[in-house]
Amino acid sequence: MTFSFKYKPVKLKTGETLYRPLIPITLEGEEKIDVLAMLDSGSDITIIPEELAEVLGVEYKKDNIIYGISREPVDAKEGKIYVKFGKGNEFYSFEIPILVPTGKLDLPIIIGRAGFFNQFKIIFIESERRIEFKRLEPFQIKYN
Amino acid sequence: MQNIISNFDAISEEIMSQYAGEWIAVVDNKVIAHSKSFKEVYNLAKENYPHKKPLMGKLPENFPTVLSVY
Repeated sequence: MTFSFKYKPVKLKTGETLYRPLIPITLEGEEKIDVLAMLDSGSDITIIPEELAEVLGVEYKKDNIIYGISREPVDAKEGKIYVKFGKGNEFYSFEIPILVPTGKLDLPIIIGRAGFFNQFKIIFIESERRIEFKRLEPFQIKYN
Repeated sequence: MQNIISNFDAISEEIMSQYAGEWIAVVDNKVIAHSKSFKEVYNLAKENYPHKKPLMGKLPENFPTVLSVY
């Protein structure tokens, strides 16, 4: 079975419309919070803002550093969190690693590859402005 | 779990554009709070809709961005 989400349009300051691959996903910690997140195949790992991580009660395992496109390093803490993701009759729960930037990094929630992209066959269908997901069978999931 | 999907579907181009760069809370398919602060929006949603589960979103900016991190 497959399910998909349409890209979300935003009108730019220039007047053009840009379509972005956003998904709904539930982050499960001390509280379960539904969030809107950017699905980013170019990000190695998921990024969650510090304020949100505090409410979720994320337990940190170690310190790390985030490098963005500018290559400016930003201090971050590394942890794990359970997520629930799907649509219709298909919802899946699994754990993903996360980084929480401690410096001033004003980002949306970014769902990166580690722990998430290995759970599904994911197709960005740019011509139809939607992302399609097909859950992999357990034997197909690689954890490294 | 359909609540999260209907709240997600309710986020229109108008909402994405009007609140670009801000946190929003969506309850019953409507934006019920917005601010630059996650906690402010989340607490407002919890106070005013204690029995509802809001969809929280930090909307991307309304200019082209490159987000990839490594």
